[in-house]
Amino acid sequence: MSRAWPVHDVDPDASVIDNARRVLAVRVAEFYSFEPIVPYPELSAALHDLRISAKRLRYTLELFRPQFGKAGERQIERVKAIQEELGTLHDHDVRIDLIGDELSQLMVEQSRMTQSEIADASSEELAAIATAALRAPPDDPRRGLIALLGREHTGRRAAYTRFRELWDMYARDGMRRDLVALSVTPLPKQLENSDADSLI
Amino acid sequence: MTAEAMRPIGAAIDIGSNSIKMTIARASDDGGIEQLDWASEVVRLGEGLDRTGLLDEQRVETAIETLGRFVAQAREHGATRIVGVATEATRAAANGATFLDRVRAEAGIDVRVIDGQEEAALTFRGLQAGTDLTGSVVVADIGGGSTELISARDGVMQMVKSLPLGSGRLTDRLVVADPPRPDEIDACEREAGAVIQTLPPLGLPSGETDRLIVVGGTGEYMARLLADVRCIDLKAVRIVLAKLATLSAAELADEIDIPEARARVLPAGVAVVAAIASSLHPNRIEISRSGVRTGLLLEALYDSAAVKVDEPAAIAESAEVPTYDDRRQPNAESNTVDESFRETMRALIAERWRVVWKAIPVALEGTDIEGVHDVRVASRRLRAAMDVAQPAFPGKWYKPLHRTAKEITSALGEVRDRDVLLEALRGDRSVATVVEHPGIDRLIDRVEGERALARAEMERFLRQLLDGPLRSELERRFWMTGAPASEPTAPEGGTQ
Repeated sequence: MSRAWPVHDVDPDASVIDNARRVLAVRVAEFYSFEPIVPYPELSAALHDLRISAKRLRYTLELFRPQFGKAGERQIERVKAIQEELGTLHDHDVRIDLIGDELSQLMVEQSRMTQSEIADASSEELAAIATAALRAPPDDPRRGLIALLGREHTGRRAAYTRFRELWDMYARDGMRRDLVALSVTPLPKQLENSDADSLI
Repeated sequence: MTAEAMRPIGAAIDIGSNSIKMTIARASDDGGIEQLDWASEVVRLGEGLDRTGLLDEQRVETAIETLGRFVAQAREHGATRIVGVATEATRAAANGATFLDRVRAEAGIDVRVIDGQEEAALTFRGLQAGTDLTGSVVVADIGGGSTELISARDGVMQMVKSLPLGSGRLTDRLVVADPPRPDEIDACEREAGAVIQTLPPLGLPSGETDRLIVVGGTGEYMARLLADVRCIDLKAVRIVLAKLATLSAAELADEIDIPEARARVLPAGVAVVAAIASSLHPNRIEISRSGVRTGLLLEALYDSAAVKVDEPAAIAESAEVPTYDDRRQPNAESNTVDESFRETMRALIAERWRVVWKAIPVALEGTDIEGVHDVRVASRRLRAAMDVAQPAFPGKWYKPLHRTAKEITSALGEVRDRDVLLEALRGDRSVATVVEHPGIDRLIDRVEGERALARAEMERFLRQLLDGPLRSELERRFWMTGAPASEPTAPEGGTQ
C-alpha cells in the first residue's frame, strides 16, 4: 500500500478553511497521480493504491465538510462512487488470490498423496493410481475452486468496466477541475454557492 | 491536599435577555465538570429592547447588583476562574458597551459579548461533553432574545444559525393576556415558523433529522410539564402549549417552581420549539441540561489561558490574555467566525476518538460483524483527522496516540477482511451446484480458521487498550469525554 503524500504546509495558526484547502490540494494531486494506470485493468496493486488514495481524498472532504459546503458534498459523492467500484474490484482480486492459492495447495497435497501412493504401490497398482490421479472424483474440491475462480474473473472484468465508465464519465463532467477549484484560495465565485452560511 | 482539592474551580456566568445564570464547578477526573453550585436570577435585561434599542436603566442596576452577588458566591466556593458572557440583549443594545464597562468596574469581572456563532460553539462544546451526538442532530438553544440552531452529523457541527427569535421578544410583541390566549400562542408559533422558513438547508441530508435537542431554560421548564420526557414529539409539545394557555404566569410559576417573570415568557419559548419541530420533523425531541455555561466552564477549567481572577491584576490585564475565544479569528471570506485550526481539530479528534471508544465494546462482543467494521471505519476517519492535525500538536504526546489509531485500524483489518470474505463465500455457496460445495467449504474452513486467530489477537489488543492509560491520555490531551457522561446535578436552566 502506498503511503499518504505528506502535507507540508499545514499552519496551525491559519484558519480551518485555509488548511482544509492545503490538505485537499495534496490529496487531489495524490489521487490523480494514479490516472496513468486507470486504463490497465491488470494492474491490481496500483488500482488498489488508487482506491486507498480515493479513501484519503474522501475522508479529507468529509473532515472539512462545513468548510467545503455543497460543492464538497458533490465531490464526496463522486469520490465515494469511484472508491466503491474500486472496492468491488479489490474484493474480487482478494478472492482470486485466495482461490488461486488454495488451488495450488490442493494440487500440491494431491501430488504428494499420489507420490506417496506410487512409492508404496506394486507395478500392477500403478495404472489404477494414475487413472485415479488424472480423473477427479465427483467430490474433488478443485471443481468448486475452479468454478469459483472463473466466476470471480468474470465479476472482476464487470467491476473494472463499471469503474472505467464511472471514471470516464466524471472526467468528462470535470471532476478534476471541480476538485482543484475547491482546493484553491480563495474559492472561485462560481463555487461560492448560495449556501455560504455553511462555512462555519 | 487531596487530588480533588487541587482541581481548579471555576464559575461561568451567562447574561441572557431573560435571566442571569451562573454555574460553579470543579474540573473533574474524567475531563468534564463536577457542578458545585448554581444561581439564577430573572432580570429580563432585554425587556423593551425591541421598542427602545436600549437596556432599561432599572434592569441594568438589577443586573449589576446580581452579578456582584454571583461573583461573591463564586469566590466563596473558591472559584479561581470566573468567566462571563453576554448574549443577544447586550449585543443588540446601543448602551450594551456602557453596561459592560459598569460590570467590569462594579462587579469586578470581564464579560465578553458573544455572537450567535460563538454562543452556539460553546453550547455545542458543552453538549459534546455529556450527550451522544451520533446521527443527524439539530440543537436548539432558545433564549430570551435569540435562538441558536446548530446542525451536527455524528458529533461534527455542520452549520450554525442565529435567529432573531426569543421567548422574551415574542412575548413582548405578541402576548398580552395572562394566561396567554391560544391565538397569542399560535401567533408566536406562526412568527417563529416564518423566520425558520427563511433558513437555508441546515447541512443535513434532506429531511433527515434524527433528533432535535432543546437546551437551555425553555427545554428544561417545558420538560417539567411533560408527562414523559423519554418520548417527546411534536404532539407532546402541543399538549404542553394547550396547557400553557390555561395557566397564568403565577400559576405556572407555582406549578413548575420557577420565577413568575420566567413563567411569563415560557409559552412563547415552547411555541418556538413547536415551530422548529414542525419544520424539521425530527424522529424525536430531547431535552439536555447542558448548554453554553458547560462549554464556558470546560473552556475556563481546561484552557490554561483562561483568566484567573485571584491572580493580581488579572482583571486589568485580561484584555491582553489570549483566551480560547480570542484566538478565534474572523473568517473574512465567509463573514463568520472561523474557529482556529488547532481548536477545531482538537474537537474533531476528540469526537472521533469518542466514536472509536464507543464502538470498541460492540466489536469485542462479536455478535454483529458490523461491530468490527464500525470501529475500523471510525479509526480510519480518526486517522484522517490526526494525519492532518499533526503539525498543530506537540509530537511528544501526539505521535504515540496517532500510532495507536493506526494500530487499531490494522488490528481490526485482519478480522474485517475475513468477515467480508466469509460473507462472500457463503453467498457463493448458496448459489453453487452441489459438486462445487467441497471446494467452497474448504475455502470457508480455511478463512474461518484464520479469522479465529485474527479475532483472538484483535480482542487481546482491544482489551489492552480499554484497560490501559489510553483513555485518560485522550481525556487529558483532547478533553475527550465518554458517553454517557454524568449529567450535572442541576439543570443549566434551573432556578430551584
